[in-house]
Amino acid sequence: MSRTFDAIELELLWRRLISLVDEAAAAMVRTSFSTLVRESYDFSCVVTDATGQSLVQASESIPSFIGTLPETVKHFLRHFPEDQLSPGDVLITNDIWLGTGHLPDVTLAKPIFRNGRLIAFSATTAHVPDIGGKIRSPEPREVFEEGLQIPPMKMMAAGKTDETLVALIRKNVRTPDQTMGDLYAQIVALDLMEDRLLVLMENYGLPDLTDLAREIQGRCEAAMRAAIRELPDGTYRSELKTDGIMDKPITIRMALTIKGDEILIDFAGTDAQVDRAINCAMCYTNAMCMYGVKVCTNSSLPNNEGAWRPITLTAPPAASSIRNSPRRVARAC
Amino acid sequence: MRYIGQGSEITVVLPPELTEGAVKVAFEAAYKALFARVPPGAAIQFVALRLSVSAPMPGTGGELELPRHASDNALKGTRPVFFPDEGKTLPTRVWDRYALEPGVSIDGPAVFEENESTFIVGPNATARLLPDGSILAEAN
Repeated sequence: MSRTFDAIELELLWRRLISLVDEAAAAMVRTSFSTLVRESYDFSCVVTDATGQSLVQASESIPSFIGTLPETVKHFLRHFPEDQLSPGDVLITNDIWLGTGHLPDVTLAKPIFRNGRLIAFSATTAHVPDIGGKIRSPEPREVFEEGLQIPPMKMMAAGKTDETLVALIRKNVRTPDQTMGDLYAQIVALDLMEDRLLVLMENYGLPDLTDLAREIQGRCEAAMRAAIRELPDGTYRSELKTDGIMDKPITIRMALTIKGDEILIDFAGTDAQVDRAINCAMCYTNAMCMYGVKVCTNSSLPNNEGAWRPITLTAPPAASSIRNSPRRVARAC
Repeated sequence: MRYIGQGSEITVVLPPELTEGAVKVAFEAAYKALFARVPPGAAIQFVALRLSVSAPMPGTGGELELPRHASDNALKGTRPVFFPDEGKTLPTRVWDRYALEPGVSIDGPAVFEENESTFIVGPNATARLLPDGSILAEAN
């Protein structure tokens, strides 16, 4: 039987969830070896439910990771289904198509178990100090030139670090101590979220997060739908001509359709991708669109999966703002 | 102290024996208490060293020299006293501080009168006269 929460209980649980991801974010800032995390806050901390649906996200995060991080957790689950996960595992990837769209953003996630059952993930994405490849250059024509690619792997299996992977990373980046130091700072945050979440669930007698997730996500979805319903229906078009590259401007076109309580964003008509590293991966495009809608409609709404359900994104497969084909350059700054 | 490259420090109580090994153990223990795990291979640095020294203040260690009154006159009487926490006036016994014997214990509410001051103890506390003549009041 599903559990329901009264208003006070729900508020307490929700605030404590937000507080635990914020605490993890503070621990990352304090243990990081780079100004990217400490001063630019180019990272985020998220707790998702067992299916990778976002429940709560650190309050001070850059907008893009709001949208990408839970998606990356879902990709992890596709690579490592529940029966291949153990307590103490730490999953890692910087795959541009599964992650944020450029290689320096490394995502780590930790499956959280309660009474032997997978109940959640703690996850972080952070921009590491260096990932190899050409630095800050649009020149690469292939993703291979952009740095080290880490497919979805276990950086730790049941608490044991994969030293082979660590050695490979250290050899392929310019700042091995800083890059590894920041990955360990991310693991500090993962552990902290796990610890605090399990204490919270014990305190409130929650066997899993299913009912709480439904309540939190449902409320945010309803609030977002109500905000969209306030906006006049119709299709709104906009285009932006950017400097592009090599004297060729790039135009991004977008049609945003509001229909009732839903929004459809379509990038049809956007210029094709270019063979330089200035394209934007779909995951990143998606995240930025969600962010844009959210600040225009309901900016104070806590970030979680429910808020994005009323919003759909479509784009031609090879538009410059959206790159789907692998083995091509993609870099979002 | 912190790992070289970090921007935040933690405060570590150094061990009595200042060897590299013992200081590292103390730092890692303090770091793990806050952040659960330490980054492998990172080097440690001092950011600031603090030394605290404590010594008796010159002039401390003196003893109270109080006039002594006969102890059978300790209770001077009873008068109503207003206690804001109680929101009302309570009949309160009034004591001559100089007439109290060391070791005596008096339940609040109570008033202790002396030449320079008046000391009030609320209803939910007990006052005790220490051997040197000081009054120690503790909440019940």
